[in-house]
Amino acid sequence: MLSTCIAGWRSPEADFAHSLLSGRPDCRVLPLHSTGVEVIEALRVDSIDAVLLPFDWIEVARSIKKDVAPALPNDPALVLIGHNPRLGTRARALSSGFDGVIDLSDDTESLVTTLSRICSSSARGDSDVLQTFGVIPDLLIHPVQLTDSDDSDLLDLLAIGSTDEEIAHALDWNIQKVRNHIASLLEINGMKYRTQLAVTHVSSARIPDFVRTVVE
Amino acid sequence: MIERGCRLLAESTTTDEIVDCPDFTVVSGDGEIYTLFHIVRITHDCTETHDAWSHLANVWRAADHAMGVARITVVDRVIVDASVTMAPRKT
Repeated sequence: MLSTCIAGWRSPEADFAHSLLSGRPDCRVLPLHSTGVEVIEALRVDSIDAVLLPFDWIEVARSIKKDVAPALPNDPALVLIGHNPRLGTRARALSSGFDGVIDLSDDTESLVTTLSRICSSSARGDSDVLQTFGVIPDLLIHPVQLTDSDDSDLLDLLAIGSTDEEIAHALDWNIQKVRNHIASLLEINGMKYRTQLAVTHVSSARIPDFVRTVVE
Repeated sequence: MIERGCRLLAESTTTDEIVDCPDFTVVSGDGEIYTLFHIVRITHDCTETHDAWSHLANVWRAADHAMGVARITVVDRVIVDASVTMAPRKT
């Protein structure tokens, strides 16, 4: 029996997923949740295998993965729901803490099969997307690990789109010092691309306050 | 192959006689990929023969310690540009 929680405020995807799964004997579906706080409360009081969220709840998913899931006894899968979700959407979802994606255009049987597979921890992620885009799962969950105190300034400038030359000028460094620091940051954070540093740094400042309130 | 006109530096020449920092990064992949290298030894001075680069150096790549040869451009003791040719791996 798969225990699922579906969330979405006036979301056609959430309504559709709820109607699909509610009638199935192999699924226990909680009432539709309309806020992130409701989802988090449900996760804390109930044993839930999967949380199904539409794409515009991506920040809620990221917050749950970062702040809520580590304190739970079980490890619920966060699943993106959508009709024909595009590759870029899937890639961004996996970077933001989702464990997998289900396509609501699929027939119900294969949808439940996919959902069960995502819930088994060994099959989380989406190998096609991971390979195509070099996606790092949960990239945006953790803040950038710094090598020294200067890195914070460098990241702030990098995150607003500054070039290496502009950063060097602003920090009064030479160009190689800037590039060596970026190379070291990429290495210790397990990233491949400069842009990954920028988006991760930007994302780390945008966890919604309500999650912290609930967690505390 | 060593370019004609480059001056072989003495074995006793240390890296810090020529550059402040023995580490440098090559940027590739449309400015997205940063590869960090460490100079093992600067072997040749080409400042009088080349406009494009000034020294040759033996280097290793920080990620995997693979060896290579770098053509580097040094300005005011800072490496401002570099091109690295990695040594073929032995099988």
